[in-house]
Amino acid sequence: MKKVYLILGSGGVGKTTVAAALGLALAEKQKGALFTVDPSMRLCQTLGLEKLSLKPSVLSDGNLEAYGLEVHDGLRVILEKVIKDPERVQKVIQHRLFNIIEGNISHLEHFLAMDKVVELVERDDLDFLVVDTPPHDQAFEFFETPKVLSNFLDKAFLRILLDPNLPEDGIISRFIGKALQEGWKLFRSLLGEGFWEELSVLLQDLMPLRERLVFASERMNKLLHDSNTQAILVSVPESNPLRVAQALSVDWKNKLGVNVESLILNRSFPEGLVLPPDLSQTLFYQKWLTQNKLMQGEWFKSFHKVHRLSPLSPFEMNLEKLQEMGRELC
Amino acid sequence: MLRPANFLYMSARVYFVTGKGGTGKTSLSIALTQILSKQIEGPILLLKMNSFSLSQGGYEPVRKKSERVWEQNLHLHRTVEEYFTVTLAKIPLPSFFQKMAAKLNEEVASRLLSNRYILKFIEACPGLTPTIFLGKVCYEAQVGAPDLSKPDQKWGAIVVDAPSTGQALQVFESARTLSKVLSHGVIYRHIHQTLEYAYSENFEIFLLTLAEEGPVQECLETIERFQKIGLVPKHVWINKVTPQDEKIKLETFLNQKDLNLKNLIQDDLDRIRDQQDRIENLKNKIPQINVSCLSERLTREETTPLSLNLEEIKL
Repeated sequence: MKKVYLILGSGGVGKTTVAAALGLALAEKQKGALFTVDPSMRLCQTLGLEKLSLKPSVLSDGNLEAYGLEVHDGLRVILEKVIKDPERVQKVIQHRLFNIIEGNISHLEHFLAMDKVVELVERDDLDFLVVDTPPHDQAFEFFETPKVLSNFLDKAFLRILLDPNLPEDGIISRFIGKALQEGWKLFRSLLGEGFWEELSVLLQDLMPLRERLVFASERMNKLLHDSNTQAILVSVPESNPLRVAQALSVDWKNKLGVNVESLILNRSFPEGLVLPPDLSQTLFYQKWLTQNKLMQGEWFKSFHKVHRLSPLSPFEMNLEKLQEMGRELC
Repeated sequence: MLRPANFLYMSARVYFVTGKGGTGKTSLSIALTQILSKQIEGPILLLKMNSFSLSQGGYEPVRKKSERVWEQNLHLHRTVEEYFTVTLAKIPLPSFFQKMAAKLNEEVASRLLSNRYILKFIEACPGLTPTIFLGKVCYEAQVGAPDLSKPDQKWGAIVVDAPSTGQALQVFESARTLSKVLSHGVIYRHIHQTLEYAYSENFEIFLLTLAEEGPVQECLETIERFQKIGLVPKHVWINKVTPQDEKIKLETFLNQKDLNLKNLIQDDLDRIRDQQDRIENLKNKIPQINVSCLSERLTREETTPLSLNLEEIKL
């Protein structure tokens, strides 16, 4: 059974670096895949790659397939995949209203990531999968993407676009139905009747997308609650990022029912380090004090494992260092 | 709609603060309200657009934060209801009916919103939510007031604590696209007026970033995307920059016997040097935009949200 590692955390805490390090270290013994979101140029350089894309880059003597998320043309990529008929894809893309949809699906990158992850999970030849989730202050939004998107592609929604009469909504509505009917007319006229009809034509063509969304959502849900899936939270020992991390772990437990068991504290001072008091005038010393104080918090006790990672000097990042970091994590 | 030619002078200046997650948007927004309340006469409104969240009906509550600063959280449903009410109120009626109509408009607006189909459309239609929020910002700047019964006392300035860059860009991109798509009608006219304000000199976009690889890269891409739609951020703020005297202090401790500690100090010095390189680099790449640094400060008290030195912020 495949091991899946989900790397969570807010933006700017080194999530992608941690994911890459873990992937490289695991690939020393097994075959697997690494999925990163927003990989930095330096990370690609360190890995010896020009870029990471939705097409695989092979690393570690063929043991690691690395992927990166590209959002450009994202919707078109999905459409081509879901709507098999190229003519229909063209029809959608050329629709006058397509550009409002294309530029405005805010969860598109999440869906693209999810779609790739689902595809990788299905593969039998991989022993492990490391997933770097999109940087969001509330990562669970990532897993709610299909719900948000399929709301828009809901059949009931399409029906009201096609049918000018407002569906009756309960007994009270029937009473005031007449008044509401006027309001509905007003609302539609605010947007213009032509717009309304155009939108419904476009949505009808986009319906196949919904099936894929529902499928991805079910798979993702299964993955989250699989005993072989491990959620790892990454943060840094500063009060604000820790507060966000805390909220995140609570959200995961309450909204998704997933316990986050390990915490990686990136860019932290090593355990047991004692700084000489003559440094006390520096910010460096103050940071150490802050970290010590923060680490005494109750919250840390809720984790099975808390692992501290020393900061990587920006001038010293190389493949070796990254692997070393990963081995430490394993 | 006819408006006086000097409508810009009569309206509040908007400071739209955005940036990558974790760069300190909320801190800068709060700091700005404090600075502006000392510089500008009128009341200052802090609009929190941070989460595109949903909520119950009714007007948004405007809360008084201090003597001069007011705060309002933006919620989609409430903003839409307010929009409906205001729009319906513009339908000309004989004065005899005016008072009755005002009550009725609120009722109709809330009825409209209690219908789940209309609600669903508003929530799900791509681009509508961000456009509605931009409309609200520009509406507040032009006609909003802390006390609705005294409409003469308008906002002196509005600070928008905007969402992170991707969503913030969508706010402008959506409004542009929607106005192109609709091309006529009441809503089209309102979006057009909104955009007119957002593109005026009264609307300043502040971009926050950090002196690290990812954030700097993202900042440059964001500026490019803004320029693509004809907007130029007024100011780029690089937050959490380690002050130079820290470097000087730390260098004196490099002769440590403890090798472990020596390495840690060296790494930190490397980080400071890397920050300076990135700041220079960024300044060279965007000579047309003001770039300022804000020093790194540690917030050890959990209760103070403000980790900025107000004196560093020059508008």
